[in-house]
Amino acid sequence: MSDREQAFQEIFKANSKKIYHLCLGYTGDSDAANDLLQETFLKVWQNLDKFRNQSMISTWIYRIAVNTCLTYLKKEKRAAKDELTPNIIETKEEEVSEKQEQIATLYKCIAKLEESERLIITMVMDELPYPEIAEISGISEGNLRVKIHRIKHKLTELYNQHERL
Amino acid sequence: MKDFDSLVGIWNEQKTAPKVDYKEVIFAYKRGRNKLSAKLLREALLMLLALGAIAYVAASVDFDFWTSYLGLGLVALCCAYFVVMQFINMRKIANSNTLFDKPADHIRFLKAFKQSRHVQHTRNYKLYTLFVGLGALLYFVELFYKMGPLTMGIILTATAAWFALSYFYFLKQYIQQEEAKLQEMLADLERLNQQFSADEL
Repeated sequence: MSDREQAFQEIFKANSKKIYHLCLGYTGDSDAANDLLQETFLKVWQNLDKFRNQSMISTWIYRIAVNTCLTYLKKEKRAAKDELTPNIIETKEEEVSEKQEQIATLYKCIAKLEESERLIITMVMDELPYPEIAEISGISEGNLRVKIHRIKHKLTELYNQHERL
Repeated sequence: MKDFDSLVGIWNEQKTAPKVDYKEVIFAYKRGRNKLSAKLLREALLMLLALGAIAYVAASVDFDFWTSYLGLGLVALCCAYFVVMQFINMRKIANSNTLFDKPADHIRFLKAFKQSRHVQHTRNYKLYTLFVGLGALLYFVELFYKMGPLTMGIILTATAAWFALSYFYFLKQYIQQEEAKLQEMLADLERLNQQFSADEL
């Protein structure tokens, strides 16, 4: 295996799961999330040499992922994701458990948020530091804190409303 | 009632993992690159073939009228324009590093790109059709004197019918579809732009 492939393998291993969560939170569909993940890492592979000297490689990967998710609209107009998509239902049927149901509900609620909110909240839940989220989303840290506060409140309300149903 | 920390707890419980492997990404890149190169090469070769045919006709046939050369030249220029535009677009996409930009800047790039494509597909395509038509007409001036009126009538009618069908049906349909799609995309991008705008807060 070449050095380049070795480096890419390590980067992929360290970041793919979180990027997949971001894509899944944005699309609500596992097939689409896998496609977006692949597209994101294709860009990473293409630009690997530019990354070599970057200390925060994850920030760049996240930024590519966010932009790839936003570009996704260009290719396919997605209907409002207020219903569980077949892939999530499939997972739910395979492993029927309270936890799985809660996760499915959480994704369902995330799908009801605006696009930028979906992207930001998945990064918050994956515990990315606020300065990094601000850097990725291009929003000032102060504004981001306000925004995150609102999104957290909105998501919690949506989730609790859903649980009451 | 759950608070946000409980939701983070649920989030951390998920065992969802991507189905994509790093090797697949490398393979997809190599496959994609070859596919794109092959597509580019095919299109370029086809257009070069057409250009070659035009050059051959211009060089081997001793035309009496300058209009024939001008007509062939115009059509050749249109072919060359098509190839050049194709390459410029491909390079633009390949060299665009807006993926590293802030999302709002990336969205602005997408909007500009969509609009330039729209101009290309509408105004430029109309001009392209006009020049190809003009080239064909100039070329036909000499043919008109050399061929019988009946043969020329048939050729002219067939050419005019094809141009009319292309312009009034295919192009209109294409523009309508493109307009609707572009409008929807621009509205989406505008909405996204606002979402990332700090002024919103």
